[in-house]
Amino acid sequence: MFKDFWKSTASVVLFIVTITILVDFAWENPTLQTVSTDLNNWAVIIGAFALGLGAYSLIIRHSRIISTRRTMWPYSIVLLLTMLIFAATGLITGSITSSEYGWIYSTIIQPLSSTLYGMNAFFIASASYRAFKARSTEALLLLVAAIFLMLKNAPIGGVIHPILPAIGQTIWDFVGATGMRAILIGIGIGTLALGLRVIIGQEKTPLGGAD
Amino acid sequence: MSLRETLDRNYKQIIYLCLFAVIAIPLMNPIGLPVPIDKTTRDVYDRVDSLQPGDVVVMGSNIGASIYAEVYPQYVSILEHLFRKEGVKVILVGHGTEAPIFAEKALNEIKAYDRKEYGVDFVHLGYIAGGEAAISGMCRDLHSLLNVDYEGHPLSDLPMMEDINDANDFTIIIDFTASADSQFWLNQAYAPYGTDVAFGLTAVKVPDAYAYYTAGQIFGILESLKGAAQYEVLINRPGIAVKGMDAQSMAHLFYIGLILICNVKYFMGEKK
Repeated sequence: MFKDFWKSTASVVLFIVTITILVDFAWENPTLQTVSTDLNNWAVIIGAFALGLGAYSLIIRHSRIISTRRTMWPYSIVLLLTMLIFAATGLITGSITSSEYGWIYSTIIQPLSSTLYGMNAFFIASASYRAFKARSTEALLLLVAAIFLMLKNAPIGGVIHPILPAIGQTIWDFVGATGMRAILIGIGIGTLALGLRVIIGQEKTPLGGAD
Repeated sequence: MSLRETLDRNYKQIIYLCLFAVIAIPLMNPIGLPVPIDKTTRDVYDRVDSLQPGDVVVMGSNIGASIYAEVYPQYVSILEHLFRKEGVKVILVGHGTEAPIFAEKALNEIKAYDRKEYGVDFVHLGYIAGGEAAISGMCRDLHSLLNVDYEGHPLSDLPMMEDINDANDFTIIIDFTASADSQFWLNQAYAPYGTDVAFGLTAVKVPDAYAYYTAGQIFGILESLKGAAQYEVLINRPGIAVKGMDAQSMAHLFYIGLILICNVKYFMGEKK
């Protein structure tokens, strides 16, 4: 009963809010603009609130993992301790640009994070050797295109021969960009359809899922 | 065990070791390969170089530790170029939680606080939560969204912010990211206000941005480390990105070599 009431009320609110924002985009009206700006600012506040909610949810979840000694629970201790140290350092020093905070970030978080991202280069190298086989005509085309694009994206291509990056650029301009534009237009149409479904109340996911 | 068996069994370790050497050696002893300038980078440079006193540039960023190597050098190079321009106002804003750390790092790296006056020539707004809604809020009415800057100074106390209210007052926006948030500036600044937008991106994000570039919706792109290196050359301040291009060239050659070996083995009878 309450769930139905909530869903219909939320649908009406959602309809009014989205129409207000849409009309404001198309029609210049000072009152509508004020209302629309306020609605937008509420969304920013909710976004900020969601960060706190995320932190709370993370603490609760990992506290449970520790208390029930679930698999890999020591990692949860590391996570919570890290959160605590970061929060305490930020609060005590009053700024996330303080030297103490900066030291923790630049000596622990940044190298770890960069290393994880950098490891992709090694996986790609291993994959190049194992997987990039011309098993079919399509795979061969993909391989040849990839080689020309790599030579386009690194100065060595032009040093070997100027024609190599030129071929890569042609593939990039006429094949890559065209394909990507088709994908983007598809995404745009899909987003528009989803938006319309939300506005007319057909899409229940933003309201807590379909029945 | 024969040499071939040893190589076959430990090929991953051998590849990793070779790749490490291929990247590390050029970084320590740069070869000095020429860095050709792409049109996408040149367009960003020309637009920044044509800025006039009083123009306002918004530097949006979602730089985090994971994309630091690719995008941070772009950010520093553009900031340096902007700080060489007399009278150009710069607003730094982050839409990623780690962005303010890198914004301050970049400001310190180019000695911004010694070269220009905070609040008159540049302002750091810090991180604003809310994703696209935050960017929309900045473009609609900056002062209704924010009252203070990153350090908590009221915006009303910062002289340069007096005349900056919405996206109509931004001359250009350059966003540095690896995710979909670059699109937010197109939706919220370019589409409704016509403000010129450019991107500094990681390599994986470039293909979809390139579609907007060829359609004329963004005026330029800095494409990963390559774009950063090209910009360093253009402003005559070669740094880590230019050094990195030698390593990248060698790594690409190494990858191509691996692909060729893989296919030679495949066609020489190892199809099974």
